[in-house]
Amino acid sequence: MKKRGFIPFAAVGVILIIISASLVAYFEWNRHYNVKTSLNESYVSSLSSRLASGRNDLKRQARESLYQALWQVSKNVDENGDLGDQEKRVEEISSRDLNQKLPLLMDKKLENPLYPKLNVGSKKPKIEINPAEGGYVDMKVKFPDNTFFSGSSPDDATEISSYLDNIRSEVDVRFFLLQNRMEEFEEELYRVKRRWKYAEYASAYIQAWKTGGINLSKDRTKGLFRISLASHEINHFGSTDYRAIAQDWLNYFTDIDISNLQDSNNVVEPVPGEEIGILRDGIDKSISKMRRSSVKLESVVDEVMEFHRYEPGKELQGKLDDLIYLEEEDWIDRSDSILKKFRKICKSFRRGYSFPHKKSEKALEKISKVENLVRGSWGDFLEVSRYMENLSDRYTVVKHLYEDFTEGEDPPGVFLQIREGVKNTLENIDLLRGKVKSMRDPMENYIYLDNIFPSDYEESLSQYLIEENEEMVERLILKSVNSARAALRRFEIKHEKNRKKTKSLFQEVIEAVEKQVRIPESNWEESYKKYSEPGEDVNKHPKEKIDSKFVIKPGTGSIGGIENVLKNVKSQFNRLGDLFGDFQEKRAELEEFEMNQKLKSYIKEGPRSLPVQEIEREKIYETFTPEPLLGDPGISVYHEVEIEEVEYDREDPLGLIYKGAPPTPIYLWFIDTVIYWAMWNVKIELKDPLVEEIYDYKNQTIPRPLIAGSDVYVHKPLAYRREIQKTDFDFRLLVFSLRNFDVSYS
Amino acid sequence: MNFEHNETSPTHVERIAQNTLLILQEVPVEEFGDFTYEISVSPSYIYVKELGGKPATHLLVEDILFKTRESKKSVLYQDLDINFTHEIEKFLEKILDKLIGYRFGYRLIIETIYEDFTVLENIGYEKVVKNFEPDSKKICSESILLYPKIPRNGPNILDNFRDSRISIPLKITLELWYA
Repeated sequence: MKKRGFIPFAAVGVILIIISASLVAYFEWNRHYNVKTSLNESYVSSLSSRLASGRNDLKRQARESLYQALWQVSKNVDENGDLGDQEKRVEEISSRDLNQKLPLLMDKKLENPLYPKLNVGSKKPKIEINPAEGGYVDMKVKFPDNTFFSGSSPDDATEISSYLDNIRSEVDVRFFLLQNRMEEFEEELYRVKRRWKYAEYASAYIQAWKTGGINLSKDRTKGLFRISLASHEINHFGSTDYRAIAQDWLNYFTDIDISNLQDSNNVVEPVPGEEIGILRDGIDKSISKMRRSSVKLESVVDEVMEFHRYEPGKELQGKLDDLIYLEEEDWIDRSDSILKKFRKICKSFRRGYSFPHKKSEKALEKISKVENLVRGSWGDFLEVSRYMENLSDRYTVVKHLYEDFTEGEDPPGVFLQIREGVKNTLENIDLLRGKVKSMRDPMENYIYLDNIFPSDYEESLSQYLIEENEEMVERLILKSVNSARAALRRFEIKHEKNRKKTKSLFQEVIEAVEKQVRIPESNWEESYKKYSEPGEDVNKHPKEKIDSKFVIKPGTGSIGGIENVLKNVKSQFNRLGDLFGDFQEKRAELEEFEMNQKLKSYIKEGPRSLPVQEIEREKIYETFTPEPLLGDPGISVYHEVEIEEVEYDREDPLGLIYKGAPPTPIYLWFIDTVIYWAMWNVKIELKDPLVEEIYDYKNQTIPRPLIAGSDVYVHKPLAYRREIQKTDFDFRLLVFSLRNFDVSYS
Repeated sequence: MNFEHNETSPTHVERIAQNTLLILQEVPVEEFGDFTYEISVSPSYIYVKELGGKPATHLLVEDILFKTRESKKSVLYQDLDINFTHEIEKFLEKILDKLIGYRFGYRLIIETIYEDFTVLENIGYEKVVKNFEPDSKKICSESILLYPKIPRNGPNILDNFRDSRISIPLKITLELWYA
């Protein structure tokens, strides 16, 4: 019998088996899938990593090629043209080197599945360099199209390709910094000469002014040149070849103190232009006051002459006539006019009586002004000399000038002359004042004439006119005519008497004034040889000259004499200014510099020994690069400078006769000063071109053999080496002094 | 077993190893501290070189150049001592400790391969830097290959037509170990 809905056991078993098999199959498939996915991910990840690794290795190899190219070019800059050419050379060499490496990377013998396969197109990769920040090198490797790395999984199921377009990297060497600094160093090489010149000037002036003799030493010149070069190097590179400098110092600088160079500025700047200007302005003010005092004194004579030669009759007779005419006038209805005329006449008489006295007072007033002007002029001159005294502390030449001004006996210095002159002048002015006063005093009582006429006539006339008292008016006018006539007569007699009495005084006043204002004759002369001055033809024969001048001798001071001396002082100040102006022009070519403190310390301690004595210093510096003096920019310096010859050709007139002759004099006759000058053409000749080599101390990264041919490698900094072809350096050394000095050579 | 969320899963660990190898190739060592080495010429003359801007693999490649060739010391530098190799080993350990040491043990093996070739040229090189517990298990190993190029040993042959340097395959393997 068939039972519906009932499954046989066999069928159930089959179904269960099928279901179980399906589940097992599913889980197996799922496990396989997971493993496969995981493996695929692993392959892809591993492949990507190897491709990146290949790319990094290529970048490393390019960097190595660039290191070697930079080294090759920058150690031999002179053979690699100008800046642009050097960069091209670096690019050429590094590109060539990289291209030599690539076939090796593709060498079958070295093939390894760990390294991705490099496929390079038909063209060759090229390295380009550009400046990066801080003077580092920005490297760009340009690969041709279709250059790629590729790799595949072991089952070849996965293959990845990575195309190479450009690889960029900043390389840790400051080639462009070294290149730029060296370029600037060479462009401004003229500054070495300026600094050397400054040092020579300082040395020469210190000797001439402080010791009274110049010794031109070849050793010192060599040393100063090297110090100047060091200063220029420090300026551009932040360091110098201080080991070499310290050794030079031991060799050459036995006779000069380093600190002298530091304190030399005042020496090399004899007198700044503005200081000379201030001195000249002071003298100008002094002259101006003396000139005004002279004019004022001359006008004193006019005043004295006016009262001394005063003629009362001549001045007042007209007024008396007016009074007489008034007597005849009809005054009725014209009383105001009559009174006005009368008062005017009275006033004229009173003014007449006081005129001589007033004029004498005016003369005395002017004399006081003259006295003040003379004192003022002296004050200004004193100010000049005080200023000079102050400058003396700073400027030796002013010190000498001040000594010339304030010392000397035959003739005395200008300051002494003027002081004596002013003293005499003030005494003479005082005497003059006394004379004028003596002339004035008798004239003081002229005023009593007023009691005779006009007395009280003005008030009386006014009263009578108001009262219209005709009789009294006529009587008063008549009386006043008589009184005025009597007063005038008495005035004439009195003044004439006084004039006779003071006639000699009057003459004395005129003579005294004339003596004061007169420009005196020369009273001093001297003969000397006039040599050519700096800038003139030094081959001209000296001229025999006689110069004369006025000297203020004791007791002979006068305004004219002082003015004369002051004007001469001014002219000599101008001359000094011109001479120093010439010097200043030469000084403009000097370049002041200070010795670096670290360099000074190093020099004081003395040169330290190198690790190996048998190898050239330059080679040792490559490995054991000296620490730069300044941290910025962190460049070390090596230099080779061998001075073959130092020459001093004397070029001033006396020096042309023989090298050791004393300096040539320039007489500043008026101020009794002599400027001594000597000039040399100082020449240095280098044996070989100057070698300058600078090292990128901060980046000692390039693996190089310890020395040429060595198997031992160390990291070295990139070096940039130039041979500078200039071997001759020269300048003119011009030395001025207000004191004679000896000249010698060693 | 869920591989995706386990930090010791093979894929995850492989990536750590691969990334570490990339860091050794790309990141300048100065990111991990100052790297310096000394050259001493005599006990009183010691000179210090500082190399911070290069990745570790560059230094390793340069070490090959230094080490494989230092057998012939200059007669002028009898007492020359360059501790570059030693400093690199120390520094690699420092880097790896920083990068992976806090999670895994490690062994970095740097070796020239193709022995016949390197022995012939006398330029074999091997360096191992490791830090793992004795009972650890290796859970991953990743390698990269570099081709440093160094001058051939022996007398210098000036050959204008051939490059006188030789490329050495240098294998760098980083194993990660887990306790």
